Amino acid sequence: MEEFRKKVSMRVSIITVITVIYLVLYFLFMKYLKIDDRVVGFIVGSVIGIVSILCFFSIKYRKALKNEYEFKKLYNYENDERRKLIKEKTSKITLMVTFFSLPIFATIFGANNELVFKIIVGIFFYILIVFGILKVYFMKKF
Amino acid sequence: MKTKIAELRKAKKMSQEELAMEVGTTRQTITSLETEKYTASLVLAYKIAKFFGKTIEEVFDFTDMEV
Repeated sequence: MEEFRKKVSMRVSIITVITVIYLVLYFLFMKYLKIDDRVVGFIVGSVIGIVSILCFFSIKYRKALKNEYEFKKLYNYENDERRKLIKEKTSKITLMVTFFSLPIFATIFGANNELVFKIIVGIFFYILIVFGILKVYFMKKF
Repeated sequence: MKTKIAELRKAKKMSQEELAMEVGTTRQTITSLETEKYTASLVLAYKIAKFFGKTIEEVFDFTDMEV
């Protein structure tokens, strides 16, 4: 439990640092770069979205660190075996769907465009390599 | 898998949330166990049985299980 407390404190610090870096970069970009209006809209939207998410997690973790009940609830939630199973199954199925759809997409969308075809095939092999490396790693680990 | 969790929990006049906090899981997992949608791991089964002062076999019904 104490280990988890340290982990949560570390998360709060990391979130704070990331938020500050993000906002500083945003203001520097906006002040010194001349960007197209549409791109500005996208950047503003994404900054608001990401900073809101970071604030949400920061508040959640701070609240948990102050309140013992909330902390235990967070600990239980993060170590819940059913949640882990759901995550595992979702990841597995997502990987399978992506893996089998990419060759189809490469054929359909890459038929008239060689670059698109190469990109999709590249992604396909990238996923395949990452999958292979992780599989070997976990087979040796467990 | 059939369990006696709901029965034992109600006998103790506890909510699912309270039981979840006692055994280190979430309310949703307790709901899934009670509605037989999810089968607990050995560790969770042990924690639940221990909390009720019973053996695992007394809480979880293994009769339908194939070996």
